[in-house]
Amino acid sequence: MTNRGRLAVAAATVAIGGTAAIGAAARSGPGAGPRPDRWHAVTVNLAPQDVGSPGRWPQPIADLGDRVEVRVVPAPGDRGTELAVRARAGLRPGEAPDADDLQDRIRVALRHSRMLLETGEVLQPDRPSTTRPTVTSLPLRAALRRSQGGGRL
Amino acid sequence: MRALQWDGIDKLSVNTVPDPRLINSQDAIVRVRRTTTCGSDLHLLGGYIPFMRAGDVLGHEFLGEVVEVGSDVRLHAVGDRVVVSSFIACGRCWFCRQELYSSCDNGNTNPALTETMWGAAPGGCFGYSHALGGNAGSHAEYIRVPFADVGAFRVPDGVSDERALFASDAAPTGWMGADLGGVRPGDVVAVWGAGGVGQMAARASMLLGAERVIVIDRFADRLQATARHVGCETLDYSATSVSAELEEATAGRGVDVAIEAVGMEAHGRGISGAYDQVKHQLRLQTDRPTALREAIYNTRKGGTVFVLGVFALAVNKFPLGAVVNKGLTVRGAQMHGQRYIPMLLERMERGELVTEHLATHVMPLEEGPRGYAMFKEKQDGCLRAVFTP
Ligand SMILES: NC(=O)c1ccc[n+]([C@@H]2O[C@H](COP(=O)([O-])OP(=O)(O)OC[C@H]3O[C@@H](n4cnc5c(N)ncnc54)[C@H](O)[C@@H]3O)[C@@H](O)[C@H]2O)c1
Ligand SMILES: [Zn+2]
Ligand SMILES: [Zn+2]
Repeated sequence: MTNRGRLAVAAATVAIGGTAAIGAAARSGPGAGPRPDRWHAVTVNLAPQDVGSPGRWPQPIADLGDRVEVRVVPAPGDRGTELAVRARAGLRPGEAPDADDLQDRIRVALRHSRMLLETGEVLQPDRPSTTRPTVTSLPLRAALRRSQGGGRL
Repeated sequence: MRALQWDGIDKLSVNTVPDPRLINSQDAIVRVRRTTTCGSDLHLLGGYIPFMRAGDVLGHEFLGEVVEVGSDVRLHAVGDRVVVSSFIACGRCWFCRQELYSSCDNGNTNPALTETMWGAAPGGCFGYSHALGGNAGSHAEYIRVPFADVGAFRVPDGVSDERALFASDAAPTGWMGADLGGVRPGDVVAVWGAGGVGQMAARASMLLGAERVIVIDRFADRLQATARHVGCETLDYSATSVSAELEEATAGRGVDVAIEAVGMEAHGRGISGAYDQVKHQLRLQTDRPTALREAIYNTRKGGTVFVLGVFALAVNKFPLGAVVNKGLTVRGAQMHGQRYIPMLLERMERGELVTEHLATHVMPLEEGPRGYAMFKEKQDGCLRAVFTP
């Protein structure tokens, strides 16, 4: 990489890192990180019986098999149903080498399940893409690799 | 097909890219007839929203003809002339059911970026960076429209392309500012920014019964166009004190509703303007809130400030004290187009809402880079450059 390229990547990293840092400052109050046994959850705009039950989970969650636990409860008010998934004991962060990967798969499965339940299909990004890889886009490309597996869920 | 691509900060070019195709069963493919620049694109062009990649196709405000529909599209057929909401929404999630369409849970295929940055992800948008889904934009011959039954609207025969085009983004954005800002008969409304969005917000305020509407900018041609086509009062902030004028105009009350239609690259004056510009360019603040501060200062006690201008993340010197001590409501949103477009098309058909004067420069797509340069620098009275792919 040329010096100019390196500078540009550094600038892009600062831009993306900076936005992430301000975001992080907003979300992290005093206190520790998440509990390893926390649930990942989405709220689905349907009644609980239409969201699923043991043996009848939406396909993306069924695909995670017995590596996860699933919980369905009515959401307060008119907000639908809370669909929550977490890794089984022994497979949680700090407990298994691929625990982070499983967390990401859980987030993707939750997002896709909500789309399937609410809209009937999983929205796909445009393809073929018109973008070109450049050095300055390295940090963004890294962030985009977890564009569904990362995030807050 | 040909498309206008972002190549890097302040770099655009028109190139041949692959044609879009149906991917989801609720998609339609639209042949673009008119597609316009929007102030929002300038934030992308200048690199203030760091989620663009070289080759991304720009454009989110457009009108065209349906040329292909997916198997689950019910409301549209090949040949329909449609205007499409710039924000992509599913129509069925809880947020869509509340008519908060730009907050759709299912319209953005890259939710993690904004979820991390803002705490939750808005819906997707055409041509508006990878943070809003990385969808190809409309400055192209064809575009894929997901959830076509929800986001595309047939244009009545009596409404021209030039008029209906702005029902895609500028008009619903302006309407939303007045509507959700709570404009009522008898109100005095001030609008910062005489671009397409500010003009539409002013017109909406008038149609909702405001007693007086005052649009603020520094470009004489934009202020003249506002006076002529929108029919409200204007203020040139480079020639007079906005605060003193608004104080006088409201006999000391302040405006009932302030609508900010400027955004993160607001122009500032004097030392505080220089402060914002330097901090912005050093990325010590992500946005410059000059007009927003002025709007808050000049809103009456208990009034509402609606932020239509796009902001990315954080601003400095936000006058929170004024918000608390004057009891203000500060609200903002990306546009909930699906909520307003059918009503706006009807008003366009009745002649209540005139927009075609915004299309000051209509040109072939191949001249896109020149169109953006004019629009960015507000040259030659350019309100919007419109392309005809
Ligand atoms: N919320 C939404 O969904 C939505 C949709 C479309 C556009 N927008 C945003 O609305 C804003 C305006 O869009 P546009 O297309 O009209 O842009 P534009 O660039 O054509 O107009 C912006 C106007 O603001 C004026 N301005 C700059 N600094 C000012 C100040 N300090 N006081 C008063 N006026 C000032 C400029 O002179 C210019 O005329 C942009 O930030 C855009 O991103 C938001
Ligand atoms: Zn826009
Ligand atoms: Zn939705």
